[in-house]
Amino acid sequence: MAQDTVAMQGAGQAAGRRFDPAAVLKESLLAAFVAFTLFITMVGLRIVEVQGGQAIATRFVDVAVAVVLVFFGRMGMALTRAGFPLPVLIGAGVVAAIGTLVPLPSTVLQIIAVFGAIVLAFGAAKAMNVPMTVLISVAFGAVILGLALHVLSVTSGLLEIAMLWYGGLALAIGLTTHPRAVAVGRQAFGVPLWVLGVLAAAAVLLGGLLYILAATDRTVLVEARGERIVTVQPIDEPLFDGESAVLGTVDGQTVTVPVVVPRYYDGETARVYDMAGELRAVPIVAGRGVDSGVVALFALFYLYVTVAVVLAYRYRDMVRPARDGRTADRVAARITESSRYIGPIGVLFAIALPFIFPDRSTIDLATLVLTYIMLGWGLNIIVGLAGLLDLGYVAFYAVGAYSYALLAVHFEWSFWVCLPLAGVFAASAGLLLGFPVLRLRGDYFAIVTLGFGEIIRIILLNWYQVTGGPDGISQIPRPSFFGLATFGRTGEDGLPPFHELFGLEYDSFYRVAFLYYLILALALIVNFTSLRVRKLPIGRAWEAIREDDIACQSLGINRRNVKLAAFCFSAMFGGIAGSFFATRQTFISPESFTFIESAIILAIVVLGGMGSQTGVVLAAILLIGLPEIFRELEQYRMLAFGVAMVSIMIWRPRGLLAHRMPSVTYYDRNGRRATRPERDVAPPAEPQPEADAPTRASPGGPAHGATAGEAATP
Amino acid sequence: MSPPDPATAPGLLEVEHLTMRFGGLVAIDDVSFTAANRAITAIIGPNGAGKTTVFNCLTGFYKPTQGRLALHRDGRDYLLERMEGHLIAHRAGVARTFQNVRLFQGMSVLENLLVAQHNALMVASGFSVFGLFGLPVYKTAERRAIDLAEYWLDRVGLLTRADWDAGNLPYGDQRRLEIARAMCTRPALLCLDEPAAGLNPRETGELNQLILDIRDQHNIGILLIEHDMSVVMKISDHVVVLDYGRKIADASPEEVRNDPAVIRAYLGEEEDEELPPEVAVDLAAGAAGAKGG
Repeated sequence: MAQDTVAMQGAGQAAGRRFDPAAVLKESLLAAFVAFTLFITMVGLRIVEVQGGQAIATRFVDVAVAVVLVFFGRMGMALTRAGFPLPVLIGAGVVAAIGTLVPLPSTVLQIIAVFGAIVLAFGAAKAMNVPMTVLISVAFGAVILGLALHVLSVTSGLLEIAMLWYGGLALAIGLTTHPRAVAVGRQAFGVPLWVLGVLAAAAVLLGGLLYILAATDRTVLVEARGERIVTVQPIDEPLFDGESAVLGTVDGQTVTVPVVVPRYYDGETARVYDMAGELRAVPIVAGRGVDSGVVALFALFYLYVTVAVVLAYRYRDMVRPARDGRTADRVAARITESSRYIGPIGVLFAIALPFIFPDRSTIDLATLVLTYIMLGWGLNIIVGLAGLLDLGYVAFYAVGAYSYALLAVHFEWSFWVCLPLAGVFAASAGLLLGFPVLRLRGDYFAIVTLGFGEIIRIILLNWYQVTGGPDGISQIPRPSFFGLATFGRTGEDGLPPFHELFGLEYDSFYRVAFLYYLILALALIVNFTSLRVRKLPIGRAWEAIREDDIACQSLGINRRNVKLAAFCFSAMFGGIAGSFFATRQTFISPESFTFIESAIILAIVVLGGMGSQTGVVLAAILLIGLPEIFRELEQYRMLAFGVAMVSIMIWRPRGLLAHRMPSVTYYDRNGRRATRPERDVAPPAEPQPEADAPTRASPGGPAHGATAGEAATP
Repeated sequence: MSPPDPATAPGLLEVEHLTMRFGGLVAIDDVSFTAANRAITAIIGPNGAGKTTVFNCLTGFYKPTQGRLALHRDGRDYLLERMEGHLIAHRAGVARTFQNVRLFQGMSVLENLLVAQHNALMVASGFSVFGLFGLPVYKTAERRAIDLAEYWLDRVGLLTRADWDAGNLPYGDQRRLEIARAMCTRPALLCLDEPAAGLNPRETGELNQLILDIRDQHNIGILLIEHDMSVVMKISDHVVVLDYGRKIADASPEEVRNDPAVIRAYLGEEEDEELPPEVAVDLAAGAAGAKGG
């Protein structure tokens, strides 16, 4: 629905068309009817399992609310077009507020209501000639504010309070940057009102921060609500069953927590409540005041909003809507060109992440995202550079994972020995696949790689004696700290535990952080290598093959070897990622290596923009990070995933950051030759072909001798 | 300047009894000719005469059904019909351009010329190992490759556009860049497939000069397919005429122009409809141009 609305905005520019209430009503009813037919089948009727049989569950309230929303949404659009944007703007604000504060039958409806209202409000505001910066700022502020209010109605966390402040701040800035407000401010105070707005909001914010720092005693707050604050006896490793995790015990009774553990949890204090005879815990940060993490978050958020809004205002001409995609192209080019700065900043941020968010769930998620980034970078070589559509990349991932698992479980080889071996095995698998399929082109090539991926999975599934078949391989050893220490509470295999080695308290977080840094390092190695290889002759040959492989042959390039090299490199990185996957999960089975994995990795590469390293990062965060964060939305997030993919394919068909930087340039920034000429072979003006090919200057070539000099004089 | 006499110039390429069949269709039927070093040998003929097929056999895109394609380079003989496609360019030094330009469109002009030096650079980069660690051996080789690219960019007048994407160049520039790219492979024989197609008269004149300069200044033989008679008659030293896959003439431009068999092939026999006007004009213009030049 949101997408439809956006698409309609373009058509809705011609304001002031003659108003015809009957037509508006008819249009809205028609939309509502279409929505009704769709929703009744998609949402209204669901087949559910009931005691061995099947039954149909109805959710007509959902359908009714959805249809009403569509009706009003369409009506709002029609009214905006007819020249009544102001009532639409107000109405949309009301709907957005209702969507946030009043509980609707399901979360997805709430999201539809809020986002639909925002899109509608955007359209209306644009029809009223409100500047884009103001719109973005207000919408941003309103969303944060709404979310904060919504969450606050459930819990009261410091983060939510922070969001409240910042939402208000953004809202204030947005409103005060309206040209009329600016003009008023300039008249009254000599400076634009938005400067005052920022300053005032900053002052309020700092005051609030100080107040929180001084006055919060969360224990008191919680106990006032009649809940127990307990100290949980933590167990070694929280065990996740997909729904909740066992945190520890209280009075001999197990306490479980939802999977999403809040940030800054010390692992021991929890707010416990009884839920159907089972003790559920909401982990809390106990004690007086706030911890440094929250303060850091405050500061970061503050900085972000202030800088973003001020920049948006300063450069508001550049933040025009990307109607024909040219702005998006420019932004993509800008980002790609400045990746030399963005890269190191990103790496520094990634290194600092476990210190900023020292909680398990965040780092676990970051590890997952990094695994996909590494896979994306690996696949980027074969798809992005060499232009070969590989639909079976997960096969190499599986080979790597099983190589490590089998070597480690049967021979007890160390992770650090197996890691390169897994790469080698996967690269060999790449060679093995490469030889037969490289003669194929385009679609045929893609289909055969798809088949190869499935073959590997089916072998893993059926070769029971070796791979354990569907049971998989369990109890795969975790990596040691470079053979110096282990991460358990007590040491094993004669190695001391990590915390003793460094004289620290035991914390299961160390292992999580270690795995995180491990995948970070591996991913960076892949990135560094592929960036480097791209500037080498083999990398240029890959890209040349992608551009035109007939021309490559005519230049004497051995296409088979070049493609095989691409396959090997790509497969090796996939294999290394696979062995990391095995050691992190400690359990692997063929189920982890289905076609959908290949598809996701490919989607990351294509979405990011073929061949773009930064694009892969962006796409991995979007495709892996966001769905994980919104896991609570269940299957609806896949709907959003699909909508996002379709929209991106419409607006940026070549990927988010599709912009190619040449691997070598002739001119530097100042318009001079970027590389020093190699003049050690001959006098400077001697043309290279003669100098380097003495055999050419064959005897009895008078014409040649006479004219070589001519050619040399520029 | 007077071109070297093809009779005394060393024979570079010898095509003997070349036959190419596609199923029942005989595209080339027992064609033999010789291309000399430092000479421009033109292959002409009506559409479908088998000119491009000869090129494809020479450069390894087709395996000839029969015949021998011998290339003499640096005192060695290469039998092209037995070699793998990429080795023909790599070892024997046969470089070609394409009828419809085949540049690496998305890559920059300079990169196009560096890809052409792939084999030399691969060795210098220790098959990527030295290059990966950034050893000076490779850096030097790369600078040298850029030197060569610079030289050829200067020759074809594209030095100022070295960092453009090849696909963004005007058509005439793309044609010249393709020649420069072929020359960057340091070939012994350069095969140009209709290099003047789609060029305006001024560009055609520049192209003629470029081809003549390459012949005169680099120890290389040039094989040329061309429809534009003003190009063929002006610059070729030697013309081979094909018709329906058979060779019907093999002589100097002047002789070919007056050869009744050639005129018949181009203009048709009595039972055919009258000659296509553009061909007649081309032939006349070519004759006039050659005399004038």
